[in-house]
Amino acid sequence: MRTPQEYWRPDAWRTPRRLIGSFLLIAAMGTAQSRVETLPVLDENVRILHVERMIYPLTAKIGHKEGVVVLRATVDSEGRVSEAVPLSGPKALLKESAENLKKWTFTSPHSSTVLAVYWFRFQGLCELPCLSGFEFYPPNLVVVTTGTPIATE
Amino acid sequence: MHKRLTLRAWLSNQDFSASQLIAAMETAVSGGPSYGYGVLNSSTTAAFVGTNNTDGTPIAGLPANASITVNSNGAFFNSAYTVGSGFVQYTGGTLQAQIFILVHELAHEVGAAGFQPDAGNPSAGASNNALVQKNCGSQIAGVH
Repeated sequence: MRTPQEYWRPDAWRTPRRLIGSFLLIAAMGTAQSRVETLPVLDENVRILHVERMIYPLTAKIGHKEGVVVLRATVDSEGRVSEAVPLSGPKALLKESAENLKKWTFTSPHSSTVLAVYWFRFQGLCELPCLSGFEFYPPNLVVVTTGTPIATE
Repeated sequence: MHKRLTLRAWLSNQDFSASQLIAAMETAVSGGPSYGYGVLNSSTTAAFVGTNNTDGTPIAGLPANASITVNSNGAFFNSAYTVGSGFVQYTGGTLQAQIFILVHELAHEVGAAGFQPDAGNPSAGASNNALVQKNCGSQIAGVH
């Protein structure tokens, strides 16, 4: 049985079989990547069963960060999100958006890839605790709102 | 039947708890925490939360991402003042006074049950302090 040190030894990767395997893997990834990037994700193919409510992420709320996050979700044959990858957006809002998207479910795997857009925005003044607003616009737009807190002693 | 809230439940709302808020305050702003202190022109204000006046204007000199601001001239640091509720009064600058003040501000932040806006409203402030004493008094008194 191999020890962890053997796996991590640089020359362990130089065997021909591993090299061929690596090339095949990279080629397969390239093909999958190009399919995802070139095929449009049609709204007609996205059928949502459940959207999870989320609150305005606290660190972003305190830090007064707002913006739009775009994510790509991979949906498995059961309709669950197996992976949610942020494609763009403010750093402070990426993690919670991806965690939220992983809780969505879909009726059937009409499309294995779904794009979701999260719009985080401050709208007006509010009295503390300035709870979050959450709106969902099918098939894939979420708007999460909060406000700028009015001072109190 | 009246059921008394636990301290944890009182300092929470449907979205987040005070402990989650404190953790977020530590990391929300790059370069330091989002709470701080400053010199206010009123020494009767120990601390405040929020960033804007009721007319919408930002509070002068305050960063837009400030969460809790402590008055360096108030009861948080200064023994010339007291803070508390009714017969229970803590001398300013003591640990109990500081905790009392911060719990009061956290209660605003989470919208603790019964808490009301009290900027420029001494009677609302006194009512809020009574709630702090009722819900957290024994814990504050036990701190040394």
